Amino acid sequence: MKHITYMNRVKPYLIRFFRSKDGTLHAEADGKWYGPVKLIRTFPFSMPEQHISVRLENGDELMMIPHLSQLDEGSRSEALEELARCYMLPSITKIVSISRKGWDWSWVVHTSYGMKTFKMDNLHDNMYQVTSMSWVITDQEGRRYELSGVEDMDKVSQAQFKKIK
Amino acid sequence: MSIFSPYFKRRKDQEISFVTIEHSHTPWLRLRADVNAQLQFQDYEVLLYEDRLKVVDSKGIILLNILKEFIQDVTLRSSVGGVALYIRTDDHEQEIARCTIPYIDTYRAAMSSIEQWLQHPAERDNDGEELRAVHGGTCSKCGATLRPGQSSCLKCKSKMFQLTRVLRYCRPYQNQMLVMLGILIVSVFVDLAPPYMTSLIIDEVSSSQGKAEILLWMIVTLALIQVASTGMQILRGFLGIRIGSKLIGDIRKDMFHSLMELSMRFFDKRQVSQFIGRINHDTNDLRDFLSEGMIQFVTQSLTAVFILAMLLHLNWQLTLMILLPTPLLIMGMMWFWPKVRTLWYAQWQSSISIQNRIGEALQGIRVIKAFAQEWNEKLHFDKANDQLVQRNISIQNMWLSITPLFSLFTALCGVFIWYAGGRYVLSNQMTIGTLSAYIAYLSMFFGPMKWFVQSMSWVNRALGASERIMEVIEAPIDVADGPNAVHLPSIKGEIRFQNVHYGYEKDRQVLHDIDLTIRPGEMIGLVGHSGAGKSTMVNLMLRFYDPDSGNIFIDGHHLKDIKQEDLRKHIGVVLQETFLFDGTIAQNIAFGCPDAEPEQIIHAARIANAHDFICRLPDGYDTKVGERGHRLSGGEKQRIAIARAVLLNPPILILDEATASVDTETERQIQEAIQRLIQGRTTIAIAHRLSTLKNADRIVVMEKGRVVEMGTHQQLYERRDHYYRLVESQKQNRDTTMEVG
Ligand SMILES: Nc1ncnc2c1ncn2[C@@H]1O[C@H](COP(=O)(O)OP(=O)(O)O)[C@@H](O)[C@H]1O
Ligand SMILES: [Mg+2]
Repeated sequence: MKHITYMNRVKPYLIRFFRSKDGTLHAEADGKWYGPVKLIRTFPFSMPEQHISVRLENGDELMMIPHLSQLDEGSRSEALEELARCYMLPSITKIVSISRKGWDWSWVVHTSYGMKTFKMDNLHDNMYQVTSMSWVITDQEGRRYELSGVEDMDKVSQAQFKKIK
Repeated sequence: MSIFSPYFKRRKDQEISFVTIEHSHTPWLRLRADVNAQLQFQDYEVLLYEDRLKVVDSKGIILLNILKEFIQDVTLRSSVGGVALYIRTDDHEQEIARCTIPYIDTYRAAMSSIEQWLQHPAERDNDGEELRAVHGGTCSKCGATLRPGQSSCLKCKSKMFQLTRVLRYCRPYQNQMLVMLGILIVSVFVDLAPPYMTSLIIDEVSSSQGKAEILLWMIVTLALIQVASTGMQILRGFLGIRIGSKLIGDIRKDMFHSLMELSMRFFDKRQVSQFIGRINHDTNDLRDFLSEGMIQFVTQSLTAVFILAMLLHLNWQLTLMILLPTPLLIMGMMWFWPKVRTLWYAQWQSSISIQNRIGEALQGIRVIKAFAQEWNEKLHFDKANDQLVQRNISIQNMWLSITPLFSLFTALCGVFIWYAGGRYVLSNQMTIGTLSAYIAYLSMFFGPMKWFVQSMSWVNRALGASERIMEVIEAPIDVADGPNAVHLPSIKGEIRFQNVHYGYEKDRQVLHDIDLTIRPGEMIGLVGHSGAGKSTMVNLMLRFYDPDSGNIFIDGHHLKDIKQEDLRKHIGVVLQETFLFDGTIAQNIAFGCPDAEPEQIIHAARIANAHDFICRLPDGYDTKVGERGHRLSGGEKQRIAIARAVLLNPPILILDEATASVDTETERQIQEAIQRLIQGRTTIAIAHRLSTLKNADRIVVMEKGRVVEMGTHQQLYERRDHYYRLVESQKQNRDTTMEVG
């Protein structure tokens, strides 16, 4: 508990992140050095860049960062980089097609990880609604994808999605 | 054989296969990966040779080539949704491979041999006999990665046969269905006769030499035909209902039976309320298809063919003209088909989501009321309901627009025939009787056509239903009994965990390398913070789930080699949360052995310290305890659960926080009951209050999924480590509570 620091929301963040020589992430806060540290998204789907928990190797929480934008530029990009490696959750940016192939549903999508074609046994067990317009989609092999903001995607994506929802 | 061999041999049936090494240019290990360092999907491989490590992309281009002596260390880092392999060279860490969930197991399995390879001197004497390439198992037919515990791709096995599997439910009613088909074929002919007869009558009447006698015979025949047709219709109806109801009964039965057999994993991933409705709903959607639909299909096709023949016979030129737009019709249907299918599926999903809402709201009604969230539930329900309404409307709308269009088409055909046929009559190429028969047949011809168009809707509905029924009936049971599973009539009660790893989700391990042997008759106290994995150990022991790697033995038998019913018969469980079934107290105590004598039930209740409170109830052992035993207090329910276990008299007893939610006096009573219960049994007791475990022969301390300490209370306490801290923190808590009040 002694590590928890409650930060003032107005002031920019007093924590800074560094990549150490061995490649792990270290932090500096209140003039103290901590390392290696882990970053945890407390709302990975709904608020991926907010409420980031900074933890020590042993799991103790160092602090919560309300929003990554409150960090200085260098720390922010290190943090984003670290988070990207800890959360392999491709988010779908464009839906090329959703169709029935035999007994499977086949999706062709563009994701933040590039283009991907995947299959799904059925829609009813494999699409989990997180918020009113965001979904977590699980493919046949257990990979998960995030799908949100369909209304901001192109016409094709919207039409494809409308077919099933 | 290599030092690694036993390891790989054990897993051979799962996901790892070997390649025998021929020369040192062959990698001894290949690991496939699918995400590159820029976090983009890309297929490539990590190859490990005797002296080096290479990363090679799918075209064979070498992305990385490092000699083993430069590698200081190899680590596998888990992240959400995958793992990454890092090597350390020159005190600097570098990511060399990253992969998603399907590959995780393979990487975890390979790590120990990679570590050994790293420690091994470079000039290893290689007799060419050693392992081994590792890759995830794939289906030989479709190339899909197999799921754990799956030996061949279920999809491939059942893809084509799913419908035939549903059809096999018709087999017991084969004969009746053949009779029905016979009747239908006859009635097709019978139904076809009237227009022809009428045409003869018209021509007879309108011709100058018409005879009244012939007319009479014709009329009588026509009347008889009508009577026969009605009779056959009635018979058909009776048979249809009979076959349909029985068929659906069979399917419902199978569905429920399968549901009971399915593994915990299946239920973990799904909202269970849906199955309440699915068993009824889906089977009903299928009924009409199986009992009536198929036969209708045959008869409608037959009718269409016969009428067509008749039309051609009456006037082939006209008929060909009418048939011209047919390809258009077929194309339209093909275009429509997938749309209808998706629409029905969407409609079904909405109705399921309504069901889930209701189920959840009712299950949680106490919490909803306690938090005054009725309005919120209503809101959610209304939303789901609106969606269902919308979808019903869109399905109906589609038919609403199609049916008039179809009628228009037929009407236009009729008009055309009146014109073209009229000209034939005028030019004496055709009689008026023939023309009227022609028109009658034409309108009959549109009957089957209309049927085919409409059948699209319910055939799709039935197909969807059959798929979902088969999804349950044929769902892989991922904790199936091994091929050599044996009956174990009695056991001594030795339990052994051997290097057990387990995670409910692939990307998050819950148990790490558990090694534990429990002697017969021993009492083990399992302690640790909440979430440490204690209940998970119990779940594995009961084989609700199978370990990802490692083995569990009871009396030296691998769990997979014991019939599951036998296994669970030998293990009595008392859980923190007791489920009481709708029935009497006596029935609930006798749940594990329904034919227990009343004396035995009372005896069990006495041992469980439940007899006294049961006697105080006005209805005694016949007291009805509702769905969840709402009428009993927590401690009372607990004691019924203990009585259940007593009656079962199992050699292995598991108490998972059995006394967690009761007051001290009740706890003392339960504790007393437990003391009597554990005599001569292997007992694993998980308890929050450590004081209750002082009598345990050994205490096993778990932390974050690992066994960190093991020994008697005395030994562990004196060690002043994990266990000591747990005990001390509880003492403190007790002190503070005492201070407070
Ligand atoms: N059915 C499940 N699905 C996914 N995770 C689970 C499931 N059951 C338990 N867990 C997770 O496994 C970990 C260990 O749980 P458990 O064995 O129940 O702990 P405890 O030691 O308190 O009994 C917890 O972190 C929990 O979140
Ligand atoms: Mg537990």
